[in-house]
Amino acid sequence: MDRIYKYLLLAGAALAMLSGRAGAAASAVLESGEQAVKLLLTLLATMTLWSGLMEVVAESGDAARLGRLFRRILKPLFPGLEDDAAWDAISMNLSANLLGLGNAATPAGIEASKRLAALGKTGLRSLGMLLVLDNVGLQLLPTTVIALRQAAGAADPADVWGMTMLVSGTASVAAVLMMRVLQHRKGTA
Amino acid sequence: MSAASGTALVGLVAFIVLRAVMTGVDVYGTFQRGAEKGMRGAVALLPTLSAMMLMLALLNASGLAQLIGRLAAPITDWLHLPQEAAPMLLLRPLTGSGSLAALEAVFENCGVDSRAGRIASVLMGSSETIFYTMAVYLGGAGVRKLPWVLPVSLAAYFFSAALCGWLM
Repeated sequence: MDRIYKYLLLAGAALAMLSGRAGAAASAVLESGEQAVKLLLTLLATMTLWSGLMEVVAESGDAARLGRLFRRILKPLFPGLEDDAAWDAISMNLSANLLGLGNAATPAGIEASKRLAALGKTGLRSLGMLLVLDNVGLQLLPTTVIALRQAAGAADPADVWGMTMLVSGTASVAAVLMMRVLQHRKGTA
Repeated sequence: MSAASGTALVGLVAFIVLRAVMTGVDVYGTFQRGAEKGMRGAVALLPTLSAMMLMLALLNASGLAQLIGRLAAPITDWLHLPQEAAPMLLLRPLTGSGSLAALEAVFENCGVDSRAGRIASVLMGSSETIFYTMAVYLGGAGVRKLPWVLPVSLAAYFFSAALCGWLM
């Protein structure tokens, strides 16, 4: 990230000075710190609220139930995977992502990666599928986006919810199909 | 907020609490435990957000963001996507904080309810920081490389973007 970051900063600063926009750029730089805090305030509010609610979901056993449901539904996507501990980590990772719990998803994802990597070829194939599923970013409720839209004064902040589900749902199916075809065709992990 | 999404949201909260009541969960205490985790996670984002806001400020005020938008125009036009969303589109797979900052910039420049604002919102909610996730998971497992994951993930992201341009 640093490689891109520093050159974008340099290019932006140079272009601002050369194009006579230095004054505007200076105010923008000075305001950027405060803008970061404003953005953080929205994120702080929404992450605190939804992490609280989702902890209740986890505690009432619904996250675990969702995980077991995943194992039944997703079995065809992870052929030959019988390891229970790996399945638990996969389910936890996917259900945490679906509920928008980044804090819980990452450790579970690393745990799943470790367990799958230890299983050899079948495991690596499953790990590829898991990563592709995670990378689509399917989420039941896009809390962060809705909160940012509300803060920006949208007339109906949650009106993008349905479209978000439609797009990420379709993309998930497309990603899984692509991965299946490619893994099957090549016969590699 | 509209009646439909309002009902869905309040219904979700009611469902969560109802399930907790049915299973005898201490809702008040559990909420606070989770909320604290969320709070800590959010506060830890400030240094990254600040770095990204500085970058976005320079990009937007210098005209570099518009230049990137114009350079990316052949692709965004082909996908029926607004040029103003180009910085967010490019940043999204790389950095979560950076793409959030870029999303804010779209809201500010075009309006939150504009086509650009709505498309950027949907794309933000239906994508992931692909490179970051891969680095963390594969690094944690000590796996050097895994075939097809990156191209398929990027293709799926491209597909989501195309879908947004086509449907919205």
